[in-house]
Amino acid sequence: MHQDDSKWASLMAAAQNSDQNSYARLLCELTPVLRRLARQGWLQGSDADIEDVVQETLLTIHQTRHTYDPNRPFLPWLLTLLRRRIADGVRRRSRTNRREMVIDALDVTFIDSPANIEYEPLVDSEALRAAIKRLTPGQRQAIELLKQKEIPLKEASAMTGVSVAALKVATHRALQRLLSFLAVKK
Amino acid sequence: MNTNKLIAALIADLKPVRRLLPPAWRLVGWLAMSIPVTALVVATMRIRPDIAVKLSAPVFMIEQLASLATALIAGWSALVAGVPGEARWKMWAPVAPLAFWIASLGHQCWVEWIRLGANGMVFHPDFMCVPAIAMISTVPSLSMVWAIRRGACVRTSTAVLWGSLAAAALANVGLRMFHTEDAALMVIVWQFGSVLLLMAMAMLLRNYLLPKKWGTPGRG
Repeated sequence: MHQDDSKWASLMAAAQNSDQNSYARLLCELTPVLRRLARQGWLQGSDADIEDVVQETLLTIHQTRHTYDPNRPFLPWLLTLLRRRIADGVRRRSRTNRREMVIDALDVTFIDSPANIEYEPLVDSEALRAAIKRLTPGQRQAIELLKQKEIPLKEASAMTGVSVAALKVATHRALQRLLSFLAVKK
Repeated sequence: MNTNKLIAALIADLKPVRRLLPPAWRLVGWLAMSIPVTALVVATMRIRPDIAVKLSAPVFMIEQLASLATALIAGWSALVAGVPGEARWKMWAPVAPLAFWIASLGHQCWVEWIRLGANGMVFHPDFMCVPAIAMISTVPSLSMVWAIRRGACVRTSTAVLWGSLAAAALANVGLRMFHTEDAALMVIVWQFGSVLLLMAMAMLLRNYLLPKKWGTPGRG
């Protein structure tokens, strides 16, 4: 990293004079380094926390780039900014944790068993594909467009030249046949 | 926002910047603004009649030099605090002249105690010190805040602490040139107390003086 110091110092000096290529190279080279150092400095931080610190540091570099003196080493300047942003991140996280409660994301929606997805019968996707193949071409087209691709009725009608009413009927019939093919019981 | 998009936005926003001058040069700029204002206030308030005697008294001169040294070093440290990557000892540098200033005041008090005893220790309310120091330090304080805001948003508490000390210590030098109160206890309580009071007020208001994210880099 020490070899990089003089390179980064000259890139930053060029960036201070508005050289966009140097600035792009500098920020792209610094980002993974900042990510690694932020992780070392905040072991308990989540990936999102670390990314926030990296982004805040990049913003601070941008806002305070006029404070860098090219005659001085670059790394101490960078590390001071990173340490400040890590401290801000840790403070923000501890404040949030004091106010918020972590709740497990459960699939349960209502107490009633049938309302919960875990009680729904699993359908074999291979069997469903085979059942769709057994539909008539019109019904298959209606299912593909309206249910699988979720295209609105009017758009599907314009695409196929079939009337909206005919598409509705084809979809209804296709669903009835699929139920019978798969023998799904209500 | 995605980090790559942020980098692209920062690159698109890149403009030439005017580099921050070294802290010593910025301190010279601060002094160039603050000393004439302090001198003007002293002249307006009329220099104390015994100034020639006082300037030849080592005790007075040591106290004034200690106060001036505190103003200079604290001002320099306040400006250094806004430069990322500066050595940590520079943040502690004002402690030495401040300790010397306190020691000189303490020594004066001790000498008076030995010479005059408890009955000789004069103490009475002298509320003019607070507004006088506040008035003299107005321009130095404002120019110091402006100078600190040119730096980076790091070590803001340190910058405000030493910046307010610098302005108040410089104001104290001015105050001693026209205010004829020389009893050590009075100087400690009212004059040095005013300096501490102004520092405490600046620290309480530091979030307003130096908001978390200030300005944009100086344009080139």
